[in-house]
Amino acid sequence: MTPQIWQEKCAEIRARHGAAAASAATLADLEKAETDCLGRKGELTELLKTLKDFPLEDKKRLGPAGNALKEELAGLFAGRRDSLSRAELDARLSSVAEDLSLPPYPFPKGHRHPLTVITDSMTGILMRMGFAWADGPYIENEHHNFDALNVAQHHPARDMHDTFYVKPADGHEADERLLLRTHTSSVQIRYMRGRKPPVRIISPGRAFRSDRIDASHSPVFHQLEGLCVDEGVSLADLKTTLMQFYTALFRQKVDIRFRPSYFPFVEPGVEVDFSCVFCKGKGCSVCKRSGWVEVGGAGVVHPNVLKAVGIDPEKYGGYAFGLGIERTAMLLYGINDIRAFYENDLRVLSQF
Amino acid sequence: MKILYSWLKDFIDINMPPEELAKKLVSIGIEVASVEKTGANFTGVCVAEIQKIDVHPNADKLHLVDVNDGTSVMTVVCGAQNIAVGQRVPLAKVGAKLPDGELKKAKIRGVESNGMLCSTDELKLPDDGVDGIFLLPKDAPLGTDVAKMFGEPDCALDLEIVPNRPDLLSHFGIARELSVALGLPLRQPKCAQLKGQGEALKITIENPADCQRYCGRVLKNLRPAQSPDWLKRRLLAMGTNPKNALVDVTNYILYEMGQPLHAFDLAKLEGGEINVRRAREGEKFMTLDNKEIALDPGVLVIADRNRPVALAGVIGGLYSGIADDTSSVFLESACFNPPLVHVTARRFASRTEASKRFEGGVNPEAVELACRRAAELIMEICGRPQEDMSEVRDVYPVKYAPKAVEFTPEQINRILGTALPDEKIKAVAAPLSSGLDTASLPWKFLVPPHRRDIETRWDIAEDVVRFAGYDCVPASDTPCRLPGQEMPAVVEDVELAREELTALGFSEVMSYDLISSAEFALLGGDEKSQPSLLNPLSDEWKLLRPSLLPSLLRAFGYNERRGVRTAMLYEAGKVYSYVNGHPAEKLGVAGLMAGSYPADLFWRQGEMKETGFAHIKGAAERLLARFPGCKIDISTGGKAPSFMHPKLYAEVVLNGKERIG
Repeated sequence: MTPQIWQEKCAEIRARHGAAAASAATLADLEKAETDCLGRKGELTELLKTLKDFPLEDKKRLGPAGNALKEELAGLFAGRRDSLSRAELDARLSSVAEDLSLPPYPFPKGHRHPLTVITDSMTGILMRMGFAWADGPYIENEHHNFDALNVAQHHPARDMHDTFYVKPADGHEADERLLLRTHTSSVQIRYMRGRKPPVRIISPGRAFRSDRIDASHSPVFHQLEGLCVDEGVSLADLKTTLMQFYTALFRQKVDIRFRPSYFPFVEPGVEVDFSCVFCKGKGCSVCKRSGWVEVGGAGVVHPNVLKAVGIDPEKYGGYAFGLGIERTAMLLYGINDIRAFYENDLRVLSQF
Repeated sequence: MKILYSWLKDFIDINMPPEELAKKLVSIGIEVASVEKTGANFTGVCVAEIQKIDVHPNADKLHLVDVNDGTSVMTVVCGAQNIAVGQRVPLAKVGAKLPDGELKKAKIRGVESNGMLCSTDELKLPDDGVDGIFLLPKDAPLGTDVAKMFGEPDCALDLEIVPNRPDLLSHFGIARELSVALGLPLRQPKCAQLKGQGEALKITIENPADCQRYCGRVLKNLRPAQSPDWLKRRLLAMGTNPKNALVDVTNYILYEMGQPLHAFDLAKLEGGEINVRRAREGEKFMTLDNKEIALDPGVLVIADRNRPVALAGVIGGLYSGIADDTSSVFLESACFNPPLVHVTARRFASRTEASKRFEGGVNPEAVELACRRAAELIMEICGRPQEDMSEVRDVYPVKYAPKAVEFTPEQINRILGTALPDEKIKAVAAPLSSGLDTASLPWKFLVPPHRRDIETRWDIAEDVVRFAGYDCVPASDTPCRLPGQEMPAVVEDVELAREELTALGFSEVMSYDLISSAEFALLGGDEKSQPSLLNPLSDEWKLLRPSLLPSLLRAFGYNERRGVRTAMLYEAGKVYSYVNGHPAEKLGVAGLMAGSYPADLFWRQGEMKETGFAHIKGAAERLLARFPGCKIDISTGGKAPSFMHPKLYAEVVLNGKERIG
């Protein structure tokens, strides 16, 4: 084959296959045309293979021209493929007939219980402040729930708590009386016993009282207990801790006010109020126009409690607080009936 | 506990509005539940009769009313609709001081009004339920001062006293606390300390530990009498109905001094002696409310020679009770062992005003004074004080020993986190003590007999901050030299389960740990083998739940009754069982799917599936996949318990051994 003929063949392939690329009606036709031209046994491929028989001079001349043609044709095929696939996509998309006004698909969505949500934010703040998490059982003995907390057997303070007693199994009646803990303070004893200060814990959880059931009383409720024992801990530390805690919880500056009160396991014992964040002290229904909202009890850990767990009250001091979790949730979420937390109405739950 | 403002003034010259007094009480730790005004809080209002009613010339809804106050007739403008000629009504004349201000002469729509006819609301009297003018009795004499008909203006405060301060359960006790708080002098209850001559009863205390002090006095030849009005009014304000002077005075002294007294009919006491002793096994006793109870040595009784006549500190007996015609009495004033009274009161379910005070502990040093004051008051009303009274017989085996608490000002400041100067601490503590020795360190605080609650310097710290004001406690920097926080693994696991179940579309519910017998019966099994409450609120909340299933079903039921058909619920909570005979608790997580998936009312009915076994198994598997440390198998084909579908049931097995679900 002479270079002349080779070149003519090239021109002929260019014209015929170029036209085939341009005229292919479907992607399948185009595929076939491309294979015929550029495939392993395609016409152009075969033609280029013959270059090896030419003398070096000719090869230098014909080689680049052949490669240029290959690229040109490949470009033509690629261009045609783009426009064909685009047309095909357009056709497929425009053939869809879905009613876009139909209601959306109802993906199931889960919700955390509001008491879980509030407990998480309260414990989250306190744990960032350095409190460790301690846990304790709901079924307690009188020692942990009362005696070690300085509530003596016949002290009238025991009557402040309407206690549920748990029936022992048949044949075990002689054992110590068991009860459902009336407060989370029992965890104080369990945690401190056998540990040396410093101690700084929180313990959120359930407590039980045989109260009547109404809008503000529930036989099952949640408290968040806090306890800090170390050298030099005072009532002032308690005030700071609660101030920082409520400031973080309400995301605004909150003041703390103490009012004298009585809980056998603290001395001095105080009732804790925070400055009303709902009306900024101007007076609203939440704070009953007083500018202060009551949230729980607290105080300096009673020396008898420290003694009961083997900690020297002459050396160490401490504070403890118990905050109502339902009460906090009711304030934050504007819920006015404690029973709403245990009815589990999905219309309520799904707001959290 | 109710406190009358006017009664407090018997002991202390307070001169502040009741609202301010209430604030002061709250600031020193005495909760005030309510402040209620009583009596007449106005002047210049008299009884008048309506003689003529005309229409107001310039207003449709007003009347011109001619009223006669007994001396003259005047015209007033009135807008009320309930008036009629002949009625007697309260007329406030010009210049009258009403609770809301002074009444001035005024022209109302062009007509001069010479006064005002008043409603109960305008006079701040108890609501009579009538919309309009307060209608007085037809026989009320014209011109009478209406204020006189309703007593002096007064105020009743309802206080909540904490259990460690029984000394505050009386008017004198509150006055004593206020005298410290306000720096005002305190007057002792009135008592002439009259000597008696009559015969006394022999008093024997079997065991001094049961009764620290017992005072008795015999009063004879009493005229049966009703109490004077002032005493009746005070008792009524306390919520106690007056009976006769004898009973009324004992109640009166209880509210005044906090010392419970008991009066026995002397004629019914046999053998001329009083024994404070434990009941004998099987001894019978008839209570005042006519119930026969059997006693045992756990109960302290007051007995004559032959039988018990009262449960010490709790309730009197029927047989020696005071009748309206009782003419001679034995008056008891004592200090009983608090726990003993506590147990007895609870055992016989008669918690009385008296037992409440004995349980907290009465002041042994005030026992005799209360006895004397009561006796003198009774004699003043219905007897001859000099002749018919015995001397007080006082048996006081365990003398009150003053206790001293040592402290340093620095210790007080350390407890409180304050920097109170020594002088301030001294100034606050001294009036609380019956002597404060600050000559050298440590200081010595002599505890007064009514403050049994003060035992340590922590108690003194509380009183210091109570009276110095809690504002003196600064916000300090909390010392923080603590190890890192720890979170129990189980708490983190529950959190993980919550996260996964919420992501799957389950909503968390929270239920009581208690279920009913009916709910338990659904699960099958013997109720006796399930921990339960000894004192449940009701049968609905009786057993500790053995499983979370009843709770989930209850939660679903609540929603189903409100039209919900589809729900995905879970609960993370405790379940209970007996383990080796002991009630034990375990933390569990359970889920429930009901209705269809994905949701009710989904428009593409074809894509909505009834939730089936595959759904809940899929959820369980996804949940368990969050706990990669444990090898968990869900195995089917096991025998289903009665409350489950016999075939669509699977068990979850942990590490090939323990069945966990």
